[in-house]
Amino acid sequence: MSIGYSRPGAFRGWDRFDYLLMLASLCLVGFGLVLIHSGSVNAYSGPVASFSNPVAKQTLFAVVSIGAMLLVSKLDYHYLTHYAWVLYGLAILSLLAILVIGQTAYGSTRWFDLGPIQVQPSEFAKLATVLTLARFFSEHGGDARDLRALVLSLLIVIPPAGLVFIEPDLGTSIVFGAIWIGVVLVAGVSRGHLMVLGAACIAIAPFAWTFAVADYQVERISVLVDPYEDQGGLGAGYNNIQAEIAVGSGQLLGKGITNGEQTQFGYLKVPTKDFIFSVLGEETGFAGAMVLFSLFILLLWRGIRAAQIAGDTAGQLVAVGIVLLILTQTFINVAVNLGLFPVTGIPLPFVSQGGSSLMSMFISLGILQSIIMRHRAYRQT
Amino acid sequence: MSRHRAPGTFRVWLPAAFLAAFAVLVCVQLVKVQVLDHDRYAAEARAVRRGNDTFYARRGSILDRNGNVLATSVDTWDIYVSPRAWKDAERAANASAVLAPLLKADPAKLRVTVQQSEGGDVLLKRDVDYETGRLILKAAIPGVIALANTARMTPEGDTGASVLGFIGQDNVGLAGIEAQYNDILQGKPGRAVYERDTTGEPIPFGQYIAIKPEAGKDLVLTIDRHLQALAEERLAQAMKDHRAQGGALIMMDPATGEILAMATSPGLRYSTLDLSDNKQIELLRNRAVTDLYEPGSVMKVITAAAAIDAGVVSPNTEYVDNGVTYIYDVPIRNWDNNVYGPQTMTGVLQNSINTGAVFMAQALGADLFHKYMDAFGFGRPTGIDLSGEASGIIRRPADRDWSPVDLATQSFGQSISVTPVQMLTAIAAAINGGNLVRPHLVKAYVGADGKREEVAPEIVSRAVSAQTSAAIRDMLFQVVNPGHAHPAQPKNYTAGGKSGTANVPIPNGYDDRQVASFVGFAPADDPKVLIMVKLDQNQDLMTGTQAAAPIFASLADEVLAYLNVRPDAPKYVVKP
Repeated sequence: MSIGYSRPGAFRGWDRFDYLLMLASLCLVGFGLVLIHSGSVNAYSGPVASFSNPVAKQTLFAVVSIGAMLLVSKLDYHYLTHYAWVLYGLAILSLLAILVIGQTAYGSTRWFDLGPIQVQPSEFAKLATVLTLARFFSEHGGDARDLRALVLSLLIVIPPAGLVFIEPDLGTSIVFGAIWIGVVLVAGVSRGHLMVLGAACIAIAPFAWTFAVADYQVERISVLVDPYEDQGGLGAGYNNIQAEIAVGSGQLLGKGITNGEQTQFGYLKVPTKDFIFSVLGEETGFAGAMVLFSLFILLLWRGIRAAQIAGDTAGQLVAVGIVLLILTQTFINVAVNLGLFPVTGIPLPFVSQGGSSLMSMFISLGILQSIIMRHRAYRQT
Repeated sequence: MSRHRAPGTFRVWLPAAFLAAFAVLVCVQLVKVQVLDHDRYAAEARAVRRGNDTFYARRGSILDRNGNVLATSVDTWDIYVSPRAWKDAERAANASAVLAPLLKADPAKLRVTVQQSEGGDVLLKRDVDYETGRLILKAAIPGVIALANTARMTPEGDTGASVLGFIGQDNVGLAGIEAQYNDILQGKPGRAVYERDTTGEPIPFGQYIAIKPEAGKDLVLTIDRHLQALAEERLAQAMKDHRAQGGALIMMDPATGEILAMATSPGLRYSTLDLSDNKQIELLRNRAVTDLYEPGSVMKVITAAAAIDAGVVSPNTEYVDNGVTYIYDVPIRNWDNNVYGPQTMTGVLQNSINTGAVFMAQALGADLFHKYMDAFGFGRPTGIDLSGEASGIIRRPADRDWSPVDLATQSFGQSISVTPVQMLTAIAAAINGGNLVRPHLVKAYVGADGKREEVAPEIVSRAVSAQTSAAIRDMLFQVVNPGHAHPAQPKNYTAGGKSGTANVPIPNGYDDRQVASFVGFAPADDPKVLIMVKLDQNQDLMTGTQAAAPIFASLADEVLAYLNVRPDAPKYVVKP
């Protein structure tokens, strides 16, 4: 590839497009479609090509999302960081709006109901926050070594994280926290500040436990210790127990797709969404889980690589934020399924059924691609 | 927008390292759960899915002593409707229009019942008869579900209800014979073990392990349905005639302890049974075995039997009645305050002289008197096969508050509480040759294979000698045949018996409410039936002889004729 040679128009940069990254995501979506099929085969018996068929619906979402990813890849991510504050403002507004007019499901208000599809604004708020943080730290005065800047960046994260927390959606607030820590870490926060912050968090934790965390959340955390405590396993610990039984009974190679009893006989709640990993664990076993992890590790590697080769600080921070955005969700979801984390309703990225999540994941990948495709452009100038 | 050059890149890997640490944690857990602990989770997965149901074969029937059915189970259907299927108004209208005539109900009411339910399937009617249920199934009405059930039928209506008891909706006996013999009637439960889904429905083609249920046995009672109906009818009539609050009418074969009829009032009636009414709960106990009363003069029979058996008196022993006996300055008077002068022991029974009973008890002494009370079964359950039997209360010389006055009053049936069945059993021992028998209601079991096992009559102990018993029979014959007409005399048979009229004890004394009773047997030489007629709180205040004895007399004629016993009254006995 010779320097100075430039391709015309639409084909510019596609040679630097990270196909491996896209392949990983497509494999995950494919894996997800198989599991969604298995998880819904008993609940859905209509025609294959119907909008009410979860598999068809998810496929359609995937196609649209991949299209969106390709479009975003083509878009210079600097446009996004440039308008980050606007996006951020819209995200905050939509999170406020949802508290007023949102749809409540499973006791939590997280969705806008737009006819056949439901939109979860917190998905886009996460992305907007990543962009805003990157914009903040890439500008003059956004030096993470400076305590003032660090505190200001925290003030960027707290509004969306707080609004999500009162939906309530504890898991997503934790994702916000993880994004912030990752971004300030890369942005060069000093070790001393980090320690002070850590100490502050530990000091605040008991108060948060008492005042901010709702009873049901406390209950969900305590069932991790003994899931059978409440009503002998039929109470608060039910989901944890059934998920753990599903995963545990899958063994090395699993029981085969659509053959998992826990999945097929309805013991798992929301088997195509939050507990899809349990379906995977039961029906494809340890081997399936390792394949899934390999795909996510591939994703992680390509994402960090994007941060490494990013043309500027903004790109680097956006890349780090997106990697954390995707993988924190992944680990929270997997940890929930394995009984290591309280049940929070976080989908498994690319795999779980759900349009908003899929769309935001692919848009995130699109931004990563955009960073990757443009890294040389800045080295050249 | 300013464009920084990216700073040093090593920190970029820090989040990755964090995530890697998490990944290791997750993998460790995964290995633990999926590989190391696999067996446990696999077992749990199986256990969660394993459902089991207990089910019974048809409940055994209850027959009377001649094989007539008193209670039996018939196959029925419980009709349910799934509310979801009736959500659509037009569909519900069509379905209810078909269903309503079959259930003899109003279609609009059915729709309202179904639509108002918030839960699952709505039970519209329980125990729909078998044929109607088949018609409903055949009609295949949308949303209608018929589940097989059984219902208890009593072809004789309310007859014997307080003996039979009843069963709950789970087919478990809750009172009477149904409760006492529940295990035998129910048989051994079968079990179905199967794999199920979260709704509890068996998984098609899942594992299915079943243990076949063992059918219950039929019970043949000692009760005769005709005599039972007669007893109930006469008791009801007597309660009406004498304005009594309650009563008991029991017929027993004195030789074996078989109860031929047992009517009690108040008592269970199927036709008016309403378990939601708390007042009806007390109808569930059979008062002939659960409730205590003071027997009064009927007890003199036992006192006489004891005294004669111990040899301290003979039927002809004479003594002089002064109308009153003093025990530690407590005067004991006759019931009618009469002075009878010189009397034999037979005369004591004929005239029911209290001082005469005291004379016999004092001749025995307290210890011997109580030895005989034990021998006649007082103060402990008779062992009749009905639940909730009371022991009776009898104050004994060893008790702290014992007084010699107690011995005197016990001799004529005060300071002692008995159940009707207990009293009847003691009298049976006094006249049947001296054997204390166990009163019982079940004569035999009949298995599903038709094999019949008889329940052998059980002699608990010997109370008095055969000679004593013969003497008592004769004395009681003299009571009923004092040389002039007596209300207890049957027309066609010789008979013996004793009346009792006792006041109802209240703390520290007696109420003016009374219990009037008569216990009699016939024929006098070879008793085939022993009958107790007991009226509680008869408002006309007639005595046992006045109120209860005539009922005995007419019953003795009817019962013995029904039992094909040859008449033996003097007018029938042709002297050679």
